[in-house]
Amino acid sequence: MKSAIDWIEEDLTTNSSTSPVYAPTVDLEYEIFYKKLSEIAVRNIAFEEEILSHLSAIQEVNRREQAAMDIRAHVIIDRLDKIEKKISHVTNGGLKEAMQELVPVILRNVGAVQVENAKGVWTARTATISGTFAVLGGLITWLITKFL
Amino acid sequence: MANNKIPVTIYITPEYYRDKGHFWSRLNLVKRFHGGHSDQVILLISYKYYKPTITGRQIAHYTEMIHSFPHAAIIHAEGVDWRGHDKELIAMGIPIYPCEYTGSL
Repeated sequence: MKSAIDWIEEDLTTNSSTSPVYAPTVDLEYEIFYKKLSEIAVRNIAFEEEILSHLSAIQEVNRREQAAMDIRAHVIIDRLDKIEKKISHVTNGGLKEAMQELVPVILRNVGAVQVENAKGVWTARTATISGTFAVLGGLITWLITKFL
Repeated sequence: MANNKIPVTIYITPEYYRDKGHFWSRLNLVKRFHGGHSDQVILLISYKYYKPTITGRQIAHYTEMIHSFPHAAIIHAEGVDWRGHDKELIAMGIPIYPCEYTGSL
């Protein structure tokens, strides 16, 4: 398929008398007119290809970011699965619940979720301490009910 | 590794050589588009539609461009009058391809 530029360049090389639509009387005017038209055509086609290149690049960047997010999500799911398997044998309801509350803290500690600011670190530490006490409490209750 | 870079093509037109400030306005637009992920893209400067004579000023433009986009290449270079400046560009780490870009995503 011929582009606008091809049409213009072809027409420039042919005699003006063969073109009934564009037949300027002066050759110089004819040349200036087609030169301008050719420039506009070049600019348009360059713009079109350039904008498509930008859109395609942005789409590719988004696709790569999404793929990276999917990988991170899979890592978190795998870790959760492993944690669940490790605590699945616990029969004590209170103890199990307390252990499950520790899961976000464990995930933070293994680096699945980055704790970047001081507030985040403080929250993680508080959660670790309270979670540990909850587990110990659950364990003591279980021992008392089992042996006394 | 340039092979896993995302190609972004800029087409050189007569405006780049005729209108003062055209290069800078276009570079700023491209920065807005891809500035956030400039390390992921390879900027391809295409001379497909215009074959100019390269001057020292254009080389200065390339020097400035490489600060914002560290990965760049020149394509459709066949027919451009380099006046020896092509060696400077290669020394700057900007490869010159006579036709299409030979790298891939």
